[in-house]
Amino acid sequence: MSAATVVIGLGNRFRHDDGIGPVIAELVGTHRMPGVTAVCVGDTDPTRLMEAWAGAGLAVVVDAARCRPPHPGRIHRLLPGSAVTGTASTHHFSVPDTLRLSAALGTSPGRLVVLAVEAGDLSPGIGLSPRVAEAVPRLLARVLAEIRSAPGVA
Amino acid sequence: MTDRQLSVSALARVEGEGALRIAVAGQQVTAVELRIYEPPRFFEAFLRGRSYTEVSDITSRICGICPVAYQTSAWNAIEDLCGIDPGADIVALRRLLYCGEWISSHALHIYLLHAPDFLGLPDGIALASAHRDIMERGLRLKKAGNTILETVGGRAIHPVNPRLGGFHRAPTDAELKALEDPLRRALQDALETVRWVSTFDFPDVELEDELLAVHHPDHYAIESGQIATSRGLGFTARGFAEHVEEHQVPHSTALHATLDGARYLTGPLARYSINSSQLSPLARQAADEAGLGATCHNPYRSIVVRSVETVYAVEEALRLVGAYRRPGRPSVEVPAVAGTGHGVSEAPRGLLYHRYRLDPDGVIESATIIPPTSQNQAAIEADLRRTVSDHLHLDDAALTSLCERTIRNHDPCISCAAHFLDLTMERA
Repeated sequence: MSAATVVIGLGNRFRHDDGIGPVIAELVGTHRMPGVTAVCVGDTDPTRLMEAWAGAGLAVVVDAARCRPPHPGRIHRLLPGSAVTGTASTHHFSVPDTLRLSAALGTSPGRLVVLAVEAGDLSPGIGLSPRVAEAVPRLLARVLAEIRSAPGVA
Repeated sequence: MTDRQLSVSALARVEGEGALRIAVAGQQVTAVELRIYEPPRFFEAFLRGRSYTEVSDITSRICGICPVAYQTSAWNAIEDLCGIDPGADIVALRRLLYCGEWISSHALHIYLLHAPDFLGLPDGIALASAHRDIMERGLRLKKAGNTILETVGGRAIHPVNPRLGGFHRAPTDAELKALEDPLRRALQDALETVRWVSTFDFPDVELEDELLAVHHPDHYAIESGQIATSRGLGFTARGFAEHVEEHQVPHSTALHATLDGARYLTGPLARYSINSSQLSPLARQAADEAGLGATCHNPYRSIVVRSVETVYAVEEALRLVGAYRRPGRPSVEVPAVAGTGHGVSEAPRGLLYHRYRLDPDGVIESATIIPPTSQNQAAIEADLRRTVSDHLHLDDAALTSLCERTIRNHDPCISCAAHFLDLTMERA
């Protein structure tokens, strides 16, 4: 692989389904794939996200999404430029805004994919709701497929 | 006669959610309402019935920008009640942790929230696009603060290592030594920040509100001290409730406050005006070169004050790291005592007061938390009223923009206070 790949699990595991990102990042970490780093970002500091993906050839961000009406567990694949506004994020500095800031600073990853999972329960508490938990194997497979699609990865 | 109404339904570049409504009839400003509509967060109620040992972990959740301030005022209150002095080594480590929060919070406000106003830019992203090197400097500074928080506090947001009586674990000498290189770079970045912001164009405004800040006889007050005002009043944290009274207003979920019946201001202008003689020589020199006198009452220049305070905090952090002696024990026992404790500290946005009443088993019977933004609301509204009165010739868009700048000068943290911003301007 010519450039590193990073999987970023974004979210707060103390808000039920908002923890889907960290859950997936930890699972990716257990695969110990050469050149692949998995990190969890649980706070709202944009610098943390920028540091996580700086220099990466591919960054896969896994995050929870709140949709109305909700279809918990449904997976959306978003790319920079997707019709996502910055105001609806549960994170103070949204992923699109962080990407814009990162682009201005020249620290954007070579390629960015966001896999957003529709949440069913974002209330305080630990553990994924049943339908989001059921989506974990599918989501993990999607993340691994994104990693394998990176140039130089078998 | 022209009637006007200005409305901002969601204020940008402030912490939290709030709105502004201004009504003008002819040449008369008839209403200025800083509407904090973020729901009340009930932290004071959450605390009732919990153990006194839990306060710093619960109150740190009030704010992601200044959690250390909440932790510090909480344990100041309870340790005061219980008659415990954790000792110089633990106090020094707490001050270092708090310096990290000041550096991180100030860098965030200076670069991402406030500076774009002086440069005619919409936000920090535009600033990064126009002046990449400048934003990189700001983010380096913020990271230096975060690194202190992570090293001493366990993590940068909602630190988990501090506890009542001290810390769960004291960092090793080597862990603190590793802070020196990034802090030396941060000191240069902080000095360059002062030089940069001092070149901005500052409108000629002087606020006349009384100023209130924590004052410590030995150093520029951060984590502890007594309370002082600009008219020479001095009292302890215990005396705060005798002078400061909270009251509800219909348009805000955050309580307003008065000092001896009058509006007042806490925050950087207050801190600087009351304590500037206690700055380090280097910070004092930076302030002088930036054109600050012994006091500062111009809210636009608060960005200069924050920058000077950042120099001070970085320098102070370096001093504390150099003098660090790992405490023999990371914390001291704090046996519960029935009664009421009071604590204050200087959050980045101003004086933060906590009061707790404990039963003999240390169960919290009542909690009162008065954050700086609550205290400042009346003064911010008065500043807005003056601003609108002086600029009625502007069209609604320009006047609205000026009002938002006026608010950002005070760096309100609405989430802390909601216990905030949309602007409505009515011209009748």
